[in-house]
Amino acid sequence: MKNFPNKHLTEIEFLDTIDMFKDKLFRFAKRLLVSHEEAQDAVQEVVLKLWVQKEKMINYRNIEAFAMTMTKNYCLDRLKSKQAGNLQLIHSNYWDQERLEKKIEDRESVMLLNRLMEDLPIQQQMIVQLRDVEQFDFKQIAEIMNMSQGAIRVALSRARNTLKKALLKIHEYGT
Amino acid sequence: MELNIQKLLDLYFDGKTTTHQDQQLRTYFLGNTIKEEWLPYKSLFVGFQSSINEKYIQPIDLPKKRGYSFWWASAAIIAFLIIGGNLYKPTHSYTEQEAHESYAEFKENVLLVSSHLNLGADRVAHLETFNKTTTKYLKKE
Repeated sequence: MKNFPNKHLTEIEFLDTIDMFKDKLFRFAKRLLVSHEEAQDAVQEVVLKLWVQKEKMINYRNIEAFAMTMTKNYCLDRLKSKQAGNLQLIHSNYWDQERLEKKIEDRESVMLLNRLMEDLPIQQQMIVQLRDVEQFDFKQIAEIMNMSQGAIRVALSRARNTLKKALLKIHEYGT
Repeated sequence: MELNIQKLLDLYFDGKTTTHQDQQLRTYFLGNTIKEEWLPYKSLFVGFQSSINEKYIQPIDLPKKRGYSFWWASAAIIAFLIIGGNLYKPTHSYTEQEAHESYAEFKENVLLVSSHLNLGADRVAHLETFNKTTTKYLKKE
């Protein structure tokens, strides 16, 4: 037992590290899975996977990006198995869900954006989430998405323009 | 200022703004003086900005540590079984004669046990009578 004096400390260090980005993982998962509970499961799963291979974590120069990549893969797998099982992809009722969540300023804007983003292709949703919400730099996004920075910019531009059009349309009809 | 914002918006929709420029746009749209024609974009920047207020509040459960003693204990048990299994060798082998003798002895013992087992069996008959009688009695009531 004397060989492991840092056993306890390591756990705290690990949790401190996770604390720095667990909200990002959660929001990323929720963007993809929509369901609050499923997003929580995703975070829990990713954290457990990280915990199991925590010795390796020192080797990853960017743990945060690595965790985001794991979250992405987990969520895409979940979505795939949902489709394979012929389960309907639930388009959430953000209007109901968000109503329960306090502390959210300008909820209407958030709800509107969530709704509009659901119609974007999944890849664009992820990129917008990473850039416009979490403010990752392009290098990190390229790493997480396993795409070139150029391709990321193109996808981002398409997504933003789709959102722009939708917002202008809504504004025009006075909603 | 507004000229600058127009430039930033163009860059933004081309996917070419830096994080710093994105921040400038956010600051502008969070303010109260937004140019009429850009009002539709307010939801975009305000929405993104407010999205980060959503937090993961569940506690994180790490698997409970069983400690190293658990692993040592299981290792010790396995080692004991392996070593013990290898060390155990019958001290001498039985001849056929001896085997028959012990079989006979065993049979005798078992028979003895079974005869004792049957000792209580006739009492069961009494129990049945008792059962009948009670039923009769109860029926009469």
